[in-house]
Amino acid sequence: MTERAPRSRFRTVGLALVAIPTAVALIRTATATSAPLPARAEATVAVRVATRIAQAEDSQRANARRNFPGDAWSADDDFHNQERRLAHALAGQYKLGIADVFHIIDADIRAHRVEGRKSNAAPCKPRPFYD
Amino acid sequence: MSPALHPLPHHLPHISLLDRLGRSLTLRLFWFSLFSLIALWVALGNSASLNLFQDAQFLMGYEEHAVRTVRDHWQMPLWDPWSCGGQYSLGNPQTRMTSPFFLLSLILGAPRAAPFIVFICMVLGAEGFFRYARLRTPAPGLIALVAPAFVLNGFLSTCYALGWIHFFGFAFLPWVLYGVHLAMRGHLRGHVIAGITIGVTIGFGGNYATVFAFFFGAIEALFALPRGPDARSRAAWGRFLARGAALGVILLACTAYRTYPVLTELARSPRVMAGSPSHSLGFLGEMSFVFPNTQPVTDLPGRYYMGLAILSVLAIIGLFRRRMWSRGFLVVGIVLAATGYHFGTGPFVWLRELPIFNVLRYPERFLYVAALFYHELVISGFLVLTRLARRIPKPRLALAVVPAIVLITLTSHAFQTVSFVRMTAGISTTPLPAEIERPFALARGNRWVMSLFAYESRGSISCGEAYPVVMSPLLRGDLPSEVYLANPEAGSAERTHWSPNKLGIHVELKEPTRLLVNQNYHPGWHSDIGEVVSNQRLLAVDLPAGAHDLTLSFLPKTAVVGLATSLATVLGFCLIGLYRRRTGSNPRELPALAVLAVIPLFGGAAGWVMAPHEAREAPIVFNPDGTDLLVDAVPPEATPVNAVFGDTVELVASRFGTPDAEGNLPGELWFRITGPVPRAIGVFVHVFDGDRRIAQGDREVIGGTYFFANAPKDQLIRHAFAIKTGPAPTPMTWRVDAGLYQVYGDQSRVPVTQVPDARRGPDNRVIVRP
Repeated sequence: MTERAPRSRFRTVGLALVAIPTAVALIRTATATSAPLPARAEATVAVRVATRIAQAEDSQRANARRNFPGDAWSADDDFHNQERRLAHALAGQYKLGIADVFHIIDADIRAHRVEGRKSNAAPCKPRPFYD
Repeated sequence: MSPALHPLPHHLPHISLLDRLGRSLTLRLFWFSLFSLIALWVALGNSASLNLFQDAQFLMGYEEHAVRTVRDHWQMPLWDPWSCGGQYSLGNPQTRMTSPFFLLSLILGAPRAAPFIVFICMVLGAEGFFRYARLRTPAPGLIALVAPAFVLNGFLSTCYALGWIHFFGFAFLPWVLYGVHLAMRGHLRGHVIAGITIGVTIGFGGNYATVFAFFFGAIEALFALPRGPDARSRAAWGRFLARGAALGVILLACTAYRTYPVLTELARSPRVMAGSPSHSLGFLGEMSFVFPNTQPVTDLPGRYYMGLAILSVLAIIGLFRRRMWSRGFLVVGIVLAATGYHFGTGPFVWLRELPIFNVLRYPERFLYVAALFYHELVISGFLVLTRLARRIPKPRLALAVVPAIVLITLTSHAFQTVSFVRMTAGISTTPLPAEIERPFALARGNRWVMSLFAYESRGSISCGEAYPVVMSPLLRGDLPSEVYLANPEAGSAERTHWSPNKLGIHVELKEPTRLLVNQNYHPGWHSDIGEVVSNQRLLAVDLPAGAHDLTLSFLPKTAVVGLATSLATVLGFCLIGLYRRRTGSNPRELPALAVLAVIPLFGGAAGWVMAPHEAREAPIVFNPDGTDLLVDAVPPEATPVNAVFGDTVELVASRFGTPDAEGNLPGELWFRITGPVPRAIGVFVHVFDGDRRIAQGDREVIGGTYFFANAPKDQLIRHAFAIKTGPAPTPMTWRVDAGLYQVYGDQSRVPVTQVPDARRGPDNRVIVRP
């Protein structure tokens, strides 16, 4: 018993040594905070944002078709990238969260305010070339 | 008089101390966790935010969706209704919810858990490296000292910045190789270690890591080939083959729960990887040794940062130990593989001829595996130096060698750690969105910000994946109800229950009709009433007339069979552990291996019997414009061409429209392939205005789906495409020529062996318009 005691103490110290950085990592991630969420868009702002997004859609889709001739998924994906960029710009302009902008787009598409607006996306078919 | 030698390098007091420290598991783990903590300090502090990089968005989305499935609905995360209009989670190679780390995602939430999971992976990865490197280098102190370099590699920091958390599965690669090494030398625990770690790797979505683990595991196994007197011993060869065969079965069985669903999904929707990625040796050097910038997407130099370049001198010195020559050969071979097509041929080109390896996209990823063996060589170099230090006549100088080694290593680690921190600090983030509780529905969505939608009870139809997810063109993001009838006059349908894997629907029908659900079809869906069918790849049920409360549930056969196989293997491991516990000794090797190899087969068979019946599907293929690729006949308005290239490719007909508003000229070519075609053959289409070529559309892949080499034989293939030409004159007088050519090398054309005179163009071209 007395012979094993130093080894046992050493092990305890060792385990504590391992536990400390692990515990610090766990506590740091569990207690991390982020910037406060911006307030939800007021109705008038939502209409403005929805209108800007909807107005840009035709030209964005035409750009996408030019960038990816005959490739429905790539063109749609390119459009969604442009839509994302505009959404970020509008979120910054109106001090909104990016999720709120997409909430507004979703509601606008469901309201069918703009005739003939596409409410789906082309099935995923990644290009065979990326190099 | 020759200087007095120390009898052993360990008698240098510093190295002796270093080795004592390195042998202690707890001290090692403390050392590894310290570096991991510093490297991830910023990342851990930002865990309450979402990484806005597009890949991070959908990859984090997958994990968060799985958390919601388990936490909110108490279901296994089999079907992900939030992504792409619904997809089979186990069949997606990039989901990571089938690893033990998923428990952390459940407890902390997916975004918060991610950096902590990475922390654990880094610590385990360094420990795995330690154990693997120690097999060839008897210097535990030096190995422990260098080990953090393997997990501080620029590749992993880039992966974190891009949201490729599942790539930390690479941390388990040394564990798999360590297990293989032990297993092939008769240690049963080697089978267990290799099996469990490769199972965790694939469960964590480590697709590249798993493929590499199998490949380099096979090489590691070959190092156990009987040699010397054993080379002539039939018993030694028998043991080698038995261990190898059992290990192969065990590894396949441990990964079956993901490989079976993934391979089935990829067969359902084939993916080809074209192109000829290449990197010069100089550029690979830049990737490995240039201090990285903080732009993970655009800046390739430093992407695989391995620390100070001076360590490569030590790696060369490490080759003075004959035992490390195998590492040297491996590093050279892997670096050559990482050059891709740079030299026209090489290991990457050869590997791409194999199934599964043919979808590898980035040859430079081999560099991370090279880092494993490279750091082994660095350690060996340090060991050689300490041995040489014994010959230094001045003891003070000799004693300075070890501190110098420690200093160089720590400096290198410091550079790697700083680059890791800088990379993780440069991530663009957004706060976690607020939850909106409402009935689930699909939205048009946007895959570039896909993880946002689940917080608002929405799924995204917009989808970006590395493989063609089977999706329906009929999905809608504006429906008043997510369930509806094909014939609205036939009655009514109402969703009464929603959860990811189970839907309750009440229908009242005046006549038999088809119920449509706004989700993708998958053969794993079953209904207790009526028959589940694919309605243009939309989930649908053919129902009889009357009032019904039907339940749609998702349980694919591949999940049941794969899980049963893998769980049976784990049961086999438990049986061996139990035997050992009861008897105090290991079971005899060969009978134990027989049990381990046979149990998964029984498990798989039991799963096959228990799994619900599933309809078989032909592969779903279509052109990039969404139109049919495989057709039965050429439409009458197409122009017959009837040309033959070589002996095996027939160009049957063609059709061209006029450029659209964006100046894209649509075209169609109908091919029939009757025999073998080399992999490097592609099709070119040239548009001429008079004698002047004004546009061209060259494709290595027909219909964005098949190489000529692997396209179905004796089947009419409609290759639809568009070429950017700009506006056309009226009337349209352009001529269009087509032909086949070697995509790589001299780009020579395939001879036209048969063509009507009116369609024969110069230089092995065929006139396809007018």
